[in-house]
Amino acid sequence: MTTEAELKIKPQDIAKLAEMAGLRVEAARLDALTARYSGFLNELEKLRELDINDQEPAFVFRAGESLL
Amino acid sequence: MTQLDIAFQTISELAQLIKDKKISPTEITHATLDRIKLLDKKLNSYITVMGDEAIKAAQQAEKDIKKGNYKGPLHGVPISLKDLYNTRGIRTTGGSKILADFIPDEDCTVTERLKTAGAIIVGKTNMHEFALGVSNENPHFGPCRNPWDLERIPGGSSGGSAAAVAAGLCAGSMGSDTGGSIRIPAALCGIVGFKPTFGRVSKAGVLPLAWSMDHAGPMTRSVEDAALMLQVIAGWDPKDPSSAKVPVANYRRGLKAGVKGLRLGILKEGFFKGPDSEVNEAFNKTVALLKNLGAATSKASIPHIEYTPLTLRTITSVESASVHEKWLNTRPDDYGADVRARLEVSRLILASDYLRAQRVRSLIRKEFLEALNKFDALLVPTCPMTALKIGERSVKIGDKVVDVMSAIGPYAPSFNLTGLPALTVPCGFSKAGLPIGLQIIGKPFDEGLVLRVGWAYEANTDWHLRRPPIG
Repeated sequence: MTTEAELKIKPQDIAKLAEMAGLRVEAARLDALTARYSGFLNELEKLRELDINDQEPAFVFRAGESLL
Repeated sequence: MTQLDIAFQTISELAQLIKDKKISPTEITHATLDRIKLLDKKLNSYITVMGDEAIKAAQQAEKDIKKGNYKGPLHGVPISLKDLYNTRGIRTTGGSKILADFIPDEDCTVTERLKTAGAIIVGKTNMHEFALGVSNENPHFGPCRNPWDLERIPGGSSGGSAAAVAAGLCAGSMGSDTGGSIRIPAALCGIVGFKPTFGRVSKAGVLPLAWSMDHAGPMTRSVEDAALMLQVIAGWDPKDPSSAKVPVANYRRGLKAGVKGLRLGILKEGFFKGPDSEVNEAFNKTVALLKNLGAATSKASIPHIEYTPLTLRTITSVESASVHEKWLNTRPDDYGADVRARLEVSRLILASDYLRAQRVRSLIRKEFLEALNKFDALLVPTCPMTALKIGERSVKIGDKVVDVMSAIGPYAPSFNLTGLPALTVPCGFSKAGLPIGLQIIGKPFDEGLVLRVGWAYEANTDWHLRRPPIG
């Protein structure tokens, strides 16, 4: 059975993921950033918990009169 | 008239004096440039002062007016621009090192419209680097200071514009607003700031922060002045894909019609419980006054309002990371530490979270439009607190410690998400002598009504007449 520790992303994996995503940020800096902004990043979970299945994304790149 | 007398005239007062030939554009421009020279070492509200260009433009305005070619209320009036509005031949830095030497080949649409109306552009104002922050502690050009207390921030990101208008270093200014960047500094500096409806004012040639949230708008010392500036800059622009083909009203007509019979909704639920006691007291007195003036007031409900700051932050983060992708890859060390970190962390947000935020945005917008079916306008404090000290990094609210942006800015983002017009007017002062702002929100493209409510409040109070102690 897989343990929780085995499921945790290891520092070398973070570096690999960052490279794949084109982030161009060193692993140590990425660690520091995610620690500093963990509040915001974790708060995204609040949005994920909302039931918005009946909502279309806002048509935000259309002209302003779409607000009417 | 003394330099000080000229400095605190409103645009409409200056316009009358110019029209009546009691004062010339050259005299006004010299007085303004002298005042900038005298005070801006303390304030640091300007990144670039356009002395020679301004005097030349003022001399031309004077000639035109003498010939009988008077162009209207902005003719000969000193106006500044946040340093993200492109100005032909004048550097436009965005408050950054990256664009420190960028000299645009052409004016942006707003600059062009202001110049056509005869405004004298006196300079480019300080701002939070790339408009990504509310403190205006700029690492490249130095912090801008609040004229009411030089140890405090003016708010941001249009902090230089707010400080310059409040201290009489120009008659009006153009700010930009992605999550409150016109309204927050306007409130913290005790002036009027107006974020019109999304699409009302062209953003062509204005450095973007987040395409779907950015708005351009005026910052002034009176509501009537905001109407005058908006009149000149509003209207469809083929160069801006988000610009709206909606007719522009005459904003001065009906401005003084009062609030009798208007239905005003008070936003007080959810996270809006948070204002400090002095802000709360000022807001309650404001609502009482508007009621006395004949408005009907009752509580307005936006069930998902507490999600607005997070939704705005998610969307703005992703869009700004996209705007800055190239420079972030090629010149990361040229960013200030706070802006670089915010942009880098923005790249960790999933595309699905971005779209989720856009869906939440739809939900919030529907709720606001439903509320505005019942009300003519909505009211809420502009900021939950007065200006913080320069260098403060976090604020304790109840039992939570939050960053400066979250602390100052929770009441502003709803109207970037929804695109609704939102005006801030001064509505009181704290015991420490710091300004407090009232926010008035209207239906899409109903700027006239928002200005009407703001004018009625302003006409019955004298907060806007107080002057900062800077001199």
